[in-house]
Amino acid sequence: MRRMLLSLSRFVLPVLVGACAPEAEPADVLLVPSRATYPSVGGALEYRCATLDCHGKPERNLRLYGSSGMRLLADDVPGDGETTEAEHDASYRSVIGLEPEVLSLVCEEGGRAPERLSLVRKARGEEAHKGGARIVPGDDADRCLTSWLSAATDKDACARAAEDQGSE
Amino acid sequence: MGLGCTNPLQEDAIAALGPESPAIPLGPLHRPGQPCLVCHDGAEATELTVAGTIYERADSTTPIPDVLVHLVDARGTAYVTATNCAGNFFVRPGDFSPEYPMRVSIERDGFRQEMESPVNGEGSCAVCHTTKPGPRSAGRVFLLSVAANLEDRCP
Repeated sequence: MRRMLLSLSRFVLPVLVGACAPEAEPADVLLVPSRATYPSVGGALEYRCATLDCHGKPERNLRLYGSSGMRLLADDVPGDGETTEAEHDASYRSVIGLEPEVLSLVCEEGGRAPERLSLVRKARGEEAHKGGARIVPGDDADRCLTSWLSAATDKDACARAAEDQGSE
Repeated sequence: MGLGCTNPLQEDAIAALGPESPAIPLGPLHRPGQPCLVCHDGAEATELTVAGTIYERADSTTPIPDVLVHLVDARGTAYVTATNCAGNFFVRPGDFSPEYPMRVSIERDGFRQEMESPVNGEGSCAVCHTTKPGPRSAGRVFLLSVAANLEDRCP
């Protein structure tokens, strides 16, 4: 009897599992760009995108937090202190959560064709965007963002972009 | 057909502003501290492109008149206006229609203060600068260093 059950389990279980599986297995893990280097990207985008009248609003799909914009904690106020790690975390989750499958593809292919992402198209003004073009292909902010997507964050470009936006 | 159309979001936003103060007639002195462009869109009321109110301090309801408001848009076009006795300032589209982002600074009696971040698309100061500071508002626009006599000059 025991041998019969074992035989049955060898036959039935794979059939049951097979019936629930999709035709094509999805990737086990969706790839995302680095959290560790996100703060330099967030710094470059802060004044361009994360102001209180743009993506520093809770109504936005892409919510961005920062010291000069929307704050995460009830006691924090725009314009006071530095952007906290928790705020970088929240913004990072916002960015990677927009189009996770496309983002994973872009990451998997070393950042190739980043314009597949709405984030990039809208920031460049290549797709309807209330804020218009906020970065220009090839400028420091664009290099900062796209290099981050290619896992080789150009921190110098990010730093320059963060600096430039303050003196525009 | 067009006359039958309404914008429920705008209607709600206008209703949320509450009634007019009976002591202040409609015009440049009314509704200080409120988001002007909710109504001033050219359909509901005279169109304005940028407008707001400047106070003595963040926690004060005393407005500051004669504050110069310097606006510079993405094209580098500069425009200067000034607050009236209610602390209100406003810009009409024929005078200045900014291309965003726009940098803002305010000045009076030789003291000038730059807004840290640019304005990226909202012409009403009070949308971001609400009465009470909090995670989504820097609080009122104010010019702390003014030492002038700020007696009420409004009629």
